[in-house]
Amino acid sequence: MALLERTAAPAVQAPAKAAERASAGDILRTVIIAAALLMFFLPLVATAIFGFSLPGQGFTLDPLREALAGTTIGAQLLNTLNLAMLSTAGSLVLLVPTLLFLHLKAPGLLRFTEWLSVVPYVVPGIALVAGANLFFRAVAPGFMVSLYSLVPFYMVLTLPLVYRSLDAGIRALDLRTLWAASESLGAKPWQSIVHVVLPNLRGALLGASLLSCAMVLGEYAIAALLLHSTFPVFMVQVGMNEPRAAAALSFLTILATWLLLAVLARSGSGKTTAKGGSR
Amino acid sequence: MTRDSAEVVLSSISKSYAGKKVLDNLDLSMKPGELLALLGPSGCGKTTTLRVLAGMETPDAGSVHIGGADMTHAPVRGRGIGIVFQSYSLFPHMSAAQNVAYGLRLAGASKSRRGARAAELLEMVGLAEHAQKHPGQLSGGQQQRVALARALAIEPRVLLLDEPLSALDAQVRVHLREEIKRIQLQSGTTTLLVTHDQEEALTIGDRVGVMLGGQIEQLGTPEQLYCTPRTAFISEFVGAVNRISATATTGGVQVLGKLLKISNPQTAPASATGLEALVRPEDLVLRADAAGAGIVESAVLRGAHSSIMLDYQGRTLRVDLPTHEAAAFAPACRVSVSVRTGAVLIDSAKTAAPAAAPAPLHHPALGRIA
Ligand SMILES: Nc1ncnc2c1ncn2[C@@H]1O[C@H](COP(=O)(O)OP(=O)(O)O)[C@@H](O)[C@H]1O
Ligand SMILES: [Mg+2]
Repeated sequence: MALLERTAAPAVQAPAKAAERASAGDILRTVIIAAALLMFFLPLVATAIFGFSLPGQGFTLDPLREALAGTTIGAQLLNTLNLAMLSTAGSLVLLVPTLLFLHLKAPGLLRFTEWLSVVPYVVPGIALVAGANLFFRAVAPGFMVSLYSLVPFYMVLTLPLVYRSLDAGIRALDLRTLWAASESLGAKPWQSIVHVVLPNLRGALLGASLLSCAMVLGEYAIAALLLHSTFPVFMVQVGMNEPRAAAALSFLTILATWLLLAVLARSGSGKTTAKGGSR
Repeated sequence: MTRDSAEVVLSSISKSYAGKKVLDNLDLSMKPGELLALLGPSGCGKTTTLRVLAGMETPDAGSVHIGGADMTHAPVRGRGIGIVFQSYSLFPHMSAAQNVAYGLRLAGASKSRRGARAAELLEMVGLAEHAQKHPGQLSGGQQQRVALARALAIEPRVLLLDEPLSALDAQVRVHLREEIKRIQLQSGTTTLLVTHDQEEALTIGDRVGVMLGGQIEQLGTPEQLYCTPRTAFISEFVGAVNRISATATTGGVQVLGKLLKISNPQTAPASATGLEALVRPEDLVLRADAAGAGIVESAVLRGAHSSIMLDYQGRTLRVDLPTHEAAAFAPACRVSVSVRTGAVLIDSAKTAAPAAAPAPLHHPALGRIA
């Protein structure tokens, strides 16, 4: 940034023609950004206005309150939060040791697993559900009834993001050397993980968790297909009869997701400045 | 300070990566308490040897004995070794003191004992006032000192140092290697120092092993390696050397008009012609001589001694002598050259043009007389 400003400064003293051209470019840039922001925020603001107002009444929470009255939003919200927590914890417990093992003992396999981790992006959710349905109906018919049968689906769904986030965090460390150092000082593998690896992966763990939570908080298709009542499913049901309440709810959800992402960005940048600031 | 310093024996170690033999039937033994420097060009298998000894690699064949016990398949943590790595390996989230205390913490030492020991070790490496700093706030040299203190904290029976100084500035490197030697003497720990720097190996090693192609070419005291190298490779690797043409005669070789014994009868080529004698710059003697075959080209001051570069029958020779004597040989001065020693190492002449031949590491490329 500082560099940009410094290089931009001489342009001010440059011949008038160049300055004119630069300012024309500036205007164009501003217009494009303004248009993009407008197109991005207008629907959002419209959603908020639609959701939080009634004709002739201005700002009001009435539509939301009415729609929620007599429903069990608390239960659905709790369901979704539970699912988010369980899926995230499950993903981390599964992926952290796996990735550590791959990086330490089988780095050659990483290219394959990286490719594998993208598969959930390619396979549509409905195919996953249909396949699992066929399998579990034959093997364990009761399984799909439980709300928590969604956890493995969500772990698969969030795999690409969680994998990438953790992998990047591990690559930023000199894992082999740190591991060998810890081991030579007498650490068993779990001690190396707890005392050395996890503290240095904090940023990546937080990032992976937030991404996974954000994804689960917004997941509709699979939950609806398996007839589970989660918050996104609830929102869609509300929207059928109460469009204003649905708009208000979805606006709030977007806001919450953004807050999560902001926390993520903060933790990420905090880590890099701490690194760059030292020495 | 150390409980016991162990004897280390590697016997017939072989190790291949993807069909490429990195260690080839390697034998190496270390006496209790000695500092053995393992010297060799990059990629010759030094780090692999160290990793096999540490237990971070399992050899395909051969055995590792530490203190008399077979440790070939023992895990790293059971071997009683301390390691300082080539790359900075301090735990970034811990302070210097916490890094040093880490091994003791794992061993279940009390907090006060850990603190006291960490302070003592940081004092020993001269970093007492930096105890609370994190690795990111320490210079490279300071980080390696902390790493050394950390490795010694667990009172290892064997200390392994893998090119611990190679990432540091020349000045820090020289200072720190003296310090490593002092600390090693003080603790009496059997130590393996891996390096590709011949000066480092010769100055601080009790013994030096020269490695090439996955084997130990020669193992001996620095004097033995420098004065009686077994092969031409070792001679050129551990110091500067002149190649001078020689002819075999009965009872030895004729070099610069003098009959000399062959110091390497086992490895010397059998042919009578196409031979070169390898003579160190300080083993050549100059005499001002108007009829001499050498012409002084330049003098290079190196401190206490200087190097005179000669043109001798079309090739460049280097002669080292005390600086106060070097003043007598001004450029363009004619000199005669003779050999001081009674025995020389013989190798077959290198046919490649000197310019095309890659210069061995760490010493100036020297010409040779055809
Ligand atoms: N884990 C490994 N996988 C494949 N090849 C390796 C591995 N470790 C070392 N090598 C190869 O073995 C050779 C010797 O390596 P190394 O012992 O690190 O050499 P040095 O430390 O003497 O520079 C090199 O050619 C290197 O490429
Ligand atoms: Mg190495």
